[in-house]
Amino acid sequence: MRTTNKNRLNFLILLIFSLTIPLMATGPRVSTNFLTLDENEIYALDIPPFISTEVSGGGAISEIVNAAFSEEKMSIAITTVPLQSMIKYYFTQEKALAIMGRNLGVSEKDKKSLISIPLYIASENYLYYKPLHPKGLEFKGELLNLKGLTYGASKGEDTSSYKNKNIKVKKGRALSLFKKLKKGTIDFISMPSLSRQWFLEKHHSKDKNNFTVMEGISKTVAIKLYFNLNHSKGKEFSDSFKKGLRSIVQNGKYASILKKHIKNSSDVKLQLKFMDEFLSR
Amino acid sequence: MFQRILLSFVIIFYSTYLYAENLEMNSIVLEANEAPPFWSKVLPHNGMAGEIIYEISKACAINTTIIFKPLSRLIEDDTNNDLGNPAFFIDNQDFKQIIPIALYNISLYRYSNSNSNSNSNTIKSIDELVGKSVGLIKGALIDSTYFKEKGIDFEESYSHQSLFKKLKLGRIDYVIEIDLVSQQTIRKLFPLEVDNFIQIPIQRFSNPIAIMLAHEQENVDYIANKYREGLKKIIENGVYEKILKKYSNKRFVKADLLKNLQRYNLLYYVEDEE
Repeated sequence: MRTTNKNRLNFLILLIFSLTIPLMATGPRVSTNFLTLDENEIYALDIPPFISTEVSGGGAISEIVNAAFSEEKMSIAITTVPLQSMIKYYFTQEKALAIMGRNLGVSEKDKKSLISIPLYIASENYLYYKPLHPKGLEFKGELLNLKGLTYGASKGEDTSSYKNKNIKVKKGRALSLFKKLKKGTIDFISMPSLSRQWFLEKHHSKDKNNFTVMEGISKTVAIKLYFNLNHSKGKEFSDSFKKGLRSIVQNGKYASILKKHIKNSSDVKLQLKFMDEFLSR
Repeated sequence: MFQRILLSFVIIFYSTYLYAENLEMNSIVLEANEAPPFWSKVLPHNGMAGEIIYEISKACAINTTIIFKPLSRLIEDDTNNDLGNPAFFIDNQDFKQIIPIALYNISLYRYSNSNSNSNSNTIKSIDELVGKSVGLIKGALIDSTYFKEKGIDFEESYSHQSLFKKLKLGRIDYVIEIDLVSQQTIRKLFPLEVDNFIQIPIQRFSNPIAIMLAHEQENVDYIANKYREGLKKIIENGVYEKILKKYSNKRFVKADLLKNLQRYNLLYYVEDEE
């Protein structure tokens, strides 16, 4: 009897399979990191266009990391993940070889077991939705000017300075922060200019001009690669990566990858200067 | 006498009010899209995962309704409760609670009517797919540019059956598909050749199926805890295993399931927003 019921169920399922299948939210999801069998895996937090499965080569930073390891003839796999909680899990629970990105939420204690290598320095600006603030918002380098408003922070971001200035904080992922700006549940966010342009072009192209940038740099954030000393190959890979990074800076590959993605020669120059300084330490 | 009648009336009225309030508090709408055998309007209790939801709800006294919508509408709506693999939703919506309830596996499949090349039953790098054509269900490919640049040709299809027919005919080299779907499709289409369809695992871990509760859901933390409690109950009392056995012949190992669900609980842990 049970077998008959199971057969009936299988028949019903197969009948459905023979029909046209719409897009499924419980199915295969094939992105650039669907084949993740490489044991030398680096977990990167999505920050388009720097690190993203939606950008060619996984984004400028992913390409730089791959190029540096390739220079040393070493194989790694970069897995881009959407949530900071995932980075935290892979680092603390699965002792990942390395993690990468910005606002990773790594504690001071955990930082002691990490070797950090900066890959890109991003200057950020505050951004607000003009139709909800027709008179405009002004930062001018002083957070007190934004007192009483609500700041939309990235998860994992240290927000103590905002709370100290009587600014409320709500956290979310980048795309949802843009939506919250439009809904008015938050008043302003901070983002590197390249990320801002990417999100506005891709998701808000029709009203991108309504998102207004405040005057003054809100913060300067480094996108970093952190090697885990609790991983048996952490130190070895860190040393090799530094060698590879030095090679690609010297042979021009680093600059050409940045030029391809960033298309801003003064920013490329700034990054090269910064990288020279880091490598000469 | 009149006082007694009045008192009884008041008690009945108050009890009904409390019951209705409790029912309303425990009535939840979750939204899914057709993804058989996990979710389907035409399968008993809305499919395998639908039945898990049904039993969880029964065990924790929550009145759950599953509504089916096209995936694009589920993704666009960033205030609803969703069902499925969180990876499809979290780019667009920050959820307040994510409760993994089940797992599914995905593999590459190739066809071979000889056992001569046993080495090709593993794939360690995406470079091994360069120059090959890979079939997959329409909508599963998130970024085609990267694969095109690599020289991997993806061919999308609207039907699971046509994927495996193409594979058998040699029109494509591989199929990427859910294991449960593949097993049932291959058995139906080619019952005498089941062993000729070689499964190549491509991911170290299963994929999660979760209940995703929106910030807008009333009593969201309370509801999430009730669902977790219900899930624990049906795993303990064997109901969960019975559901899986209806759909798959794969051996159920409770310890593995709990370990994997806990892994996804941590991966999708939602820290307080404020």
